[in-house]
Amino acid sequence: MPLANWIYTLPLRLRTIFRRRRAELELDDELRFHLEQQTAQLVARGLDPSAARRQARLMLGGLEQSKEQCRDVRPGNFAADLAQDLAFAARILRWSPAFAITAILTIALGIGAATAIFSVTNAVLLRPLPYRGASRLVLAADLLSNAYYYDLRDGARAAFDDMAAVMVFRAVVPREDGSAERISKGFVTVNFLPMLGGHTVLGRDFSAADGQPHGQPPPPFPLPQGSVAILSHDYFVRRYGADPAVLGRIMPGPAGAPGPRIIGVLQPGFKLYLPESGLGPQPSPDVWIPNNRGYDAPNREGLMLRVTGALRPGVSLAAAQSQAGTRVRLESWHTALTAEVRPALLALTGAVIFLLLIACANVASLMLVRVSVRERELAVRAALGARAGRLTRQLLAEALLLCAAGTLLGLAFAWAGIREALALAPANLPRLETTSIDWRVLLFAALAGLAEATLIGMLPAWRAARPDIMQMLRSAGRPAGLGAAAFLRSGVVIAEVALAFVLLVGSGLMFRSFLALLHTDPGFDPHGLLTFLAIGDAQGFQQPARRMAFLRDLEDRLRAIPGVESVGAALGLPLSPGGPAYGIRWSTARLPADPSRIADLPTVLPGYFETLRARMLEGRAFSEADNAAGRNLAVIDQSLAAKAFPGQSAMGKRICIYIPDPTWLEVVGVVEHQRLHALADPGLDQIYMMDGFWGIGISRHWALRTAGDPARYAATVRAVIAKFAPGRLAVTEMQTMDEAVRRAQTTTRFQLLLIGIFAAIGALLAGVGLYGVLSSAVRQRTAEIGVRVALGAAPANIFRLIVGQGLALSAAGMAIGFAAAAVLTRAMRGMLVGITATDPATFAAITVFFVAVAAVACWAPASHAARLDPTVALREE
Amino acid sequence: MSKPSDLVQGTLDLLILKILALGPQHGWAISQRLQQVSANVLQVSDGSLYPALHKLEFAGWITAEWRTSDLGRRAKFYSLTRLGRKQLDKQAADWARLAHAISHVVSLQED
Repeated sequence: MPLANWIYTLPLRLRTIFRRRRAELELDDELRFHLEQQTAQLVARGLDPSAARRQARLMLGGLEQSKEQCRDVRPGNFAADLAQDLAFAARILRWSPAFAITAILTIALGIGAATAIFSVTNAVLLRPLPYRGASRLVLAADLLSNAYYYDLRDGARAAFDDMAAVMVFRAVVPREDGSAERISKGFVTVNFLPMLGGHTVLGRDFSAADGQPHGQPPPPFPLPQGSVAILSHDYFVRRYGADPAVLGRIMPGPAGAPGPRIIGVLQPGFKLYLPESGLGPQPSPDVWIPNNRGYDAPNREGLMLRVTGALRPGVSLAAAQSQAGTRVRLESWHTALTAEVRPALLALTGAVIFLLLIACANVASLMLVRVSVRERELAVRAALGARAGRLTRQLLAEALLLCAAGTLLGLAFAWAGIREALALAPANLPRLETTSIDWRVLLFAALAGLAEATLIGMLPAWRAARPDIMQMLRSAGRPAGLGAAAFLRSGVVIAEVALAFVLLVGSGLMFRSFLALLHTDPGFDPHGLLTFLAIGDAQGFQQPARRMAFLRDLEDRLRAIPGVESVGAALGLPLSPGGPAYGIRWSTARLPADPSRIADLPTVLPGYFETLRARMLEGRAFSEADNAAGRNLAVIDQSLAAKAFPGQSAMGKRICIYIPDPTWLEVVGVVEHQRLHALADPGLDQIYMMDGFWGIGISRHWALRTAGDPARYAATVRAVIAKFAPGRLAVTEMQTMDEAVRRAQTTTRFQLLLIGIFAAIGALLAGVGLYGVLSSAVRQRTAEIGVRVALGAAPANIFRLIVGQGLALSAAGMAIGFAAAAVLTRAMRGMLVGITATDPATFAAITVFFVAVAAVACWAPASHAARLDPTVALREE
Repeated sequence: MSKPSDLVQGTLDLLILKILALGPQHGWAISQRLQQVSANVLQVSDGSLYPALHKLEFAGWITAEWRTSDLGRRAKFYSLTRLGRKQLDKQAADWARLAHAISHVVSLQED
């Protein structure tokens, strides 16, 4: 029926379905009217009334019969038909519980894995940031100063509703008991929180006056304290027990000085999600203080602020960029936040969709077997007049029922699995903690289930809708050899093998990466090292001499702990970034200055290389005497030495760093390269400098080389530090270096675990699928095999025949999978360590492995076929 | 009674549409009209009339509303829709072509 007619008669249809009683009454009324008129006419012709009534009914063909005929022309009631189909499907499935349970479990595995991964993707990549106008928020990729911020804001007013700036830094707050607590402070322009939609639930928001500078502009270090503070709700509860009397209280400041006055508490759940900026994950601030430095022209080059802007509606990022000029690069906040993890999450999502497809193919294959077994039943029904559409709908109803059960069970799997996965997940996934099963995840699961039902139902339905009735009935129910159904099933299995092969290659690549990571030389000896970060306020330590005396004192106390062999300190340790990790340009006497060259500049105390057991390749390590002011010495790593002074000794050569003024350093040693930021990534070249030359404040990472298990010394270290500087130093990030190394492997281990699980399930399902196809092929070819044996074929020939069929199928699937993997694994490039995405060894190993899987899957059906008794087999004819 | 073989297949639809093209009618009037116009040539039974009417209604070619008849009783009046008018034109043209072809075949001279 044309669509127009369908829409036109929709009200009528709906009325017939939902107001059935009314429709019945109208039908009755209409026919009775006819009978009355007919009777009246007959009476007028002279019949007596009762005879006339009888005659009228006869002429109509009976009142009830007539009604029934009218009901018959009503269009089918879709909902009623569906309910009928589903009820029938449920009955059919109850008769074959083994099939139903296998199918439901397979679907649940696929849907569960896909839903779990999607819920993470949803939380991390898809869900908008929890800020007002989140999609219009942009970040400046580079750090700026107050002066640059004001210039940028005033220069690009046409493109932005507003612009604000934030800087997150760590601060130390003394506790009553003499220890110190490290908190995170957000140093924000007063419009920052309102721009993001953050507001106080207690006290007041920042006012414009809070952002006004008073008195002398403060120096860049130490950071300004601000006059007022707003607490995060979390900190308000954690530190102050949610006591509203905290308003108006003065926070403790550095070195006993009074800190800012508490004026408000932010709404619960407001968190700052900033992209990593080389200093590790940025904690959400516990305390917010207003930026009251004003324009601050003298510190124009003190680049510490992250600037964010809310684009005016309708203004594109590109338009805003052209307004902002070339000094800063703008990027969408959400994009910047997720840039690092997006490729890995998308690759995992791809992998899990493959798993879903494999599960789907497996169930479709099972359904095809059932259809081929039921072919006679279906043929009989078709011969008796069941329309093809009706049979199709019947099979679709079965698929729908299986998938509904599978999806519900899969959701339960996902719900349980998400908890497990979150415990293992690496820390670099922003907003991972917000992972939950929300409406988007439910919608995803529902759509996945529906898509799966369609795929699972359509193939067999398409097959069943075209039964060769004559052929079927003539062959007395014996399925017709390698007919169309077998052909379809072969296709399904080939697809399954291809998908599983791609997954296996992916997991193989991850496994090789993990092995590479385990064997990565970090450039030092991580065993037997205890590391921690002791941070304290720089107030009172501006003069290098005081700072050095303090640190030297602490070093002596730590070394005096029995069992501690040596002590090293630095701003930033391998795998624990925390020092001034922003890049600095370098040049050599021989090369012109190249602004794209940047290096890490760790500052170390003497004894650092010895404690870490980093090998000196040339020259010497730093000595105590090198720490004197004016001695601009450097130890460089081997990669920089190879680049800057190829084929010659680096000793006595000079290197220029821009901090920001050009400063020349003399190279006194070359050390093995250390992995500062990640095990997987060699990172930048390194120039090590002396603490006396380039040190700041008294916060340092410490490394203790100990006798025996380093973890045992943690409590002693805390006690020593608390006694040495009560309330001044907060000790955090206490961990052995072995733990740090393990943590650095988390991301790869997590990805390997997930892809490995998907691949294992995928390979298992593909193997089972192959087994199923071969088993039914043997069943279908029983008679043929009987003839072959009767004519003299040896069991070995029969065995080879069946194995050959299985291997041909898997070879086809593997060839497709091989080609697909060569293309698709490129998406994994960012996740791999030390190998390329088309690593030949991995591809070869997986091919061998898969041949083994195929051989195992072929074994049972082939040996069954080889053992067939020809007399029994021939009787099947 | 209601054997459709009495009538060339599908012709009843055409007749109903044609009658309704002259104006809205209730079922009884249509039945009277059918007997009248087809005289004694076509045997249209009342039993097949109502299912046919309902079928056309569901097809969207005719529509029905309850109105008071001349005799003061409420009755279901059918009328032709825009879609029904098109359908009538099409079926009438088809019928004319078929009738012409058959009468041509029938009037062939035998040897």
